[in-house]
Parts: sequence; C-alpha cells; structure tokens
Amino acid sequence: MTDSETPDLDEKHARNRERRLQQIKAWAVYVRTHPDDDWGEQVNRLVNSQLEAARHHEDERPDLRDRD
Amino acid sequence: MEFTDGEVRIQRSPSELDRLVLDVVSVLDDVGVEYAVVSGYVVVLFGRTRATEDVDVITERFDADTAAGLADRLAREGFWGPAMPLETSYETLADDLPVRIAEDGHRVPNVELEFATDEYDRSSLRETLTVRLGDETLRVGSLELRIAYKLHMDTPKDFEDALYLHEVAEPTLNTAKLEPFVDELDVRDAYDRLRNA
Repeated sequence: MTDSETPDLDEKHARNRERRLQQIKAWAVYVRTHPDDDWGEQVNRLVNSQLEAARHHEDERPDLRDRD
Repeated sequence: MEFTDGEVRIQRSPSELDRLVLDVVSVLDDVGVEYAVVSGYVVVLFGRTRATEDVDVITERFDADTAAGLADRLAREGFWGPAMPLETSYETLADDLPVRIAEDGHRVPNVELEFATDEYDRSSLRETLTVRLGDETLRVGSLELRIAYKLHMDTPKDFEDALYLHEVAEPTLNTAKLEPFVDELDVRDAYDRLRNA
C-alpha cells in the first residue's frame, strides 16, 4: 500500500504531527515564562522515572559494546 | 530560566541525569580538560520533556597521561566504563571512538566522551554556553550550532528538538551566528519550516 492510497491516514498523520509541534512550542513558552522549579519538577519526574525503568532492565540489555 | 551574555541560569534541582553530567564534567574541569556537552541531553537540560539516557560530551584531544589521570579520578569518584575499562580510555579515544562512563555497576545513564573530530566539534568547543544549574555549572555547545545540527540530522525527533531549543532560547538566539550554520549544513528548507511551524 502506498501513501497515495491512504489519503485519510496521511491527513491524520499530518494533523497529529502539526498538533505535536504546536504542543512543543507551547511547552517551550511555558518553560520560558514560568519559574524553573515549576517546570523542572515535571521534567525531573519524567527523566528520573525513565532512568529507573531503564536501570530495571539494564542487565537484560545486550552489552553496550555490541551497539557500535 | 535567565539568559545573560554567554550564560544561562536555571534554578531547579538536578535530575539523576543532570547529577551524572555535573559530576563527570566536574572531574573534567579538575583534570583540566576542555569539553562541551552536546546531544539530546542539552534539550532536556533546557526543559524538554523527553527521554534520553546517553549524554555526548566532546573534548579537546589530550595525551595518554591526562587520560590515565582522568580514568583514575573517575574511578575514585565512583564511575566505571560499562563498555571498556576506563584504564583503556586513551586507546579508545585515540581511535576516535567514544568512551562510556557510568555510575559504578550501572550501564544507564552514561556519558559518551569523545575527542573533537571535525570542524563542528571544534566549533562546539570554541563557542560554549555556560549553564548554571543551581550552584553548579557545565558548558554546552552553542545553541545556534545545536539547532542547525539537529536540523541536519533530519529525523522527526531532531526536528522537534531544534524547534524546542529555538522557541525556548528565541529571545537571545543570535541569528547572525545561526544562519551561517544553516547554510553550511544545507538545512535552509528545514530552518524555514521550523520558523513557520
């Protein structure tokens, strides 16, 4: 199936992508205009929980040497 | 977040990822190695909510003795090389390969330390931006180059990173510095899309 055969899906993806870019811009403005601790807490929560999950599985991952 | 000339002050507590980077660059400072933090971590440092677990750090070239001193100091501070022992760092770096540094016993998050290998790496080292995170500091490559370079990477994630950095630093971005990078890296179309997003 080619892209031109799925115009509805293509439009949906384009809309989603546009919405995502607008959300990124809005978050940047929020960060620029609010106290650092305010947005910092949210960023740290996400970063720390992602690292916790990654560390939980790090022994199951292939050796990092194999990634190069 | 407060931008001043050549410096940004961010008054938030460090995440675990920030902690790793601050501790590693503190060792680099102590052993006298010039560095610049680059990569997706810079975008997260400036507040983008996205996952990352590898932090790229470019350094000037240094000799085997400095590498031995660095490895020794990192080990004493509780770090190890999850890919190769830190004692072999110089051989790895001299082959223009990255040395991975992580907290003892862990593989993530990790810092990938690498010698500057091209003009863009050297430019990152020459034109750094000091970030004060609470009471600690680190140096990142200039945001203007980061934005153009991210556009050059040409993936949706990198475009989003470039858009975020452009928006968050917009009041202080130096267009006269950014646009030559845009032309050199041949990303004018992507840059126009970013400005019109």
